Amino acid sequence: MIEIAGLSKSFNQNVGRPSIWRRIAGRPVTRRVTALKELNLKIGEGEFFSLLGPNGAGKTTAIRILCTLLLPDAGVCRVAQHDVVKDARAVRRMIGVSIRGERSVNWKLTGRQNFEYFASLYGLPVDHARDAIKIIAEIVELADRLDDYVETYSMGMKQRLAIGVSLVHSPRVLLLDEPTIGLDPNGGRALRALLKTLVRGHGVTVLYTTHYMHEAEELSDRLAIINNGEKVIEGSPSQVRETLGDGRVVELQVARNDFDVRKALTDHPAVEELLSHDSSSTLDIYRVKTRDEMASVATLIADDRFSGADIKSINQVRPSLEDVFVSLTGSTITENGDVRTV
Amino acid sequence: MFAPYKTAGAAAEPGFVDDILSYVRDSLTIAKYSIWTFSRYRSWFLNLAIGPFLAIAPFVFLADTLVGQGNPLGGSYFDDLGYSGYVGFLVVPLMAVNLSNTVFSWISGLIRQEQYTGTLERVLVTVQFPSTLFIGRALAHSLYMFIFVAATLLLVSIWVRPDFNINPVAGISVVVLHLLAVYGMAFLLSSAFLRITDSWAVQTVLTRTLLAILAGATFPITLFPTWLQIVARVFPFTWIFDMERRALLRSETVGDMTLDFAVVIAMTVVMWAAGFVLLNRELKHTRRTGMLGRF
Repeated sequence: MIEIAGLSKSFNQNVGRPSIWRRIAGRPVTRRVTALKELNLKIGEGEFFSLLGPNGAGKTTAIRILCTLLLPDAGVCRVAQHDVVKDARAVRRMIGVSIRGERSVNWKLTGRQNFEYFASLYGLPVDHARDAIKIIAEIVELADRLDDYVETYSMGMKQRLAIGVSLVHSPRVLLLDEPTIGLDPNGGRALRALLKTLVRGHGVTVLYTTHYMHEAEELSDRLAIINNGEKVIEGSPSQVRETLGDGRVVELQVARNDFDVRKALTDHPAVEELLSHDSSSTLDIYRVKTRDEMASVATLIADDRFSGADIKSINQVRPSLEDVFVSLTGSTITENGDVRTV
Repeated sequence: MFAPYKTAGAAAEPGFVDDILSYVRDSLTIAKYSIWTFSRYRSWFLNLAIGPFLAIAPFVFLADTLVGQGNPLGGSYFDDLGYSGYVGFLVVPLMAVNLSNTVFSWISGLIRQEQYTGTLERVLVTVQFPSTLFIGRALAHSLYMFIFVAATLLLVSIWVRPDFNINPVAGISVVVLHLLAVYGMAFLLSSAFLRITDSWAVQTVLTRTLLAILAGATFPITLFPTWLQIVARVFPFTWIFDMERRALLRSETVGDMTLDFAVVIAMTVVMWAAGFVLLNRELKHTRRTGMLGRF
């Protein structure tokens, strides 16, 4: 349903503070930033596919190219056989898009007016649109607030409206750019449930971008992790996790004291890499990838190097997508989507 | 009953007639929802009906005091030009300048605002023809334009009583042509604003300098040096202001202004054509550079 081959895109990005003369002359200081580097993806009909990566990874650029808002520098993008550059109008008829989330709907109109506005632009007959709005408003749980102005909605409601509006013409493909940003946990859960219904119940093809690993894991049939514009891995969530190897991820919970656990772990011959380091009030929690899956836990526990550490627990754990991301890129993604070196 | 995901998406490729119908439908839809959106602002009627009058009132009042009809400081000069004093000479183009200002605010300004808020991108991935965004806005504005003109004319008539001597056919023809020209100019600007960040400054320069001074809204361009008069004549609104004065204050007919009509129609056609070309070019540019979403 969606085909991306060799897709590349770069932008001029303004940097620094140009002199007043450069500003008057309209010649800002720029640098060339590569947003996408030869991205290749194939997404089947009815598939839920996530693009996972930190801010600036190129996820939004890919979505914008697919929805005809951006032109690629190189490569080919097709939606249901229609080229997004040469046949942009056909692509626009076929896709539902939610970009910029709650900002993509008109806050000065009511929810119903927003639905009617886009239904009319998509050329839906009035009675057809009325029925569609009724059904979709139920799906996005806005039926009882449909005649209220959008400016009175919560952020989660605006996000749901934006997604609802993108469904009003029954698109075969839904492109969602970080739709859960800013939602509270309940709002996020409701939205994920809605998306599952759309894919499993109605066969919609969804391309979804996010930096939340758990979302991608919960929703995706397949996913790709991208970083710095390049795809680093692609597959089903379990396939992606398996790349770390079974039983090779170990989590240690260590009571905080003067002992440098981090150094001991990174110097340890059985440890291939440190995947994460989180702290609670009294404990430090480390996740490491070991070299030897069979002896990993025993090797670490028995080692003299940890004699000064107050290890509270040590367990082999199932690798997470975040572990894979760290293992492949050397960085982790923070809650707000930025990259942080582990 | 509507069945999601069974009815849409597989429609046949639209033909030429479908495209035209789609163009009209999208324009009307955008017009309708523009009006609804604008009417949400409580000040809309005040802004539109009284605001423009208040903007031109100080000029008119000052002019009436200093060089108005029967005033020895300037009355005879304007009488020589064929108008009954400075007030009559001033009122019509000043209304036009303010009208133009609202056009630019309504169309170019709102399109820029949508660029800021994010709805512009959403609309552009929905409409089949991006220019419908502009046409819809212009249609919506034209409805409000009647409130604007009626209210301003009423207030001006009550206060300073300019000596209107209207030829209805010529008057309506010139006003319609004026609207087409000003929408053409707004179309050009809207397209250019996709690239120009500081669009408000451009609009201000255009309305305050080009329209109010160079196009001769506030004084006759015969006061300019010859070379500047030639430059002023390149600007369609110079012709339009002149035609409006002649139709509304001197009751001249369309036949009296044939050459002027021909020139302005030609300029208007050029502006519209340039607007379409520029819009497509600028949209392509913004799609290449990512500027649509940079706000």
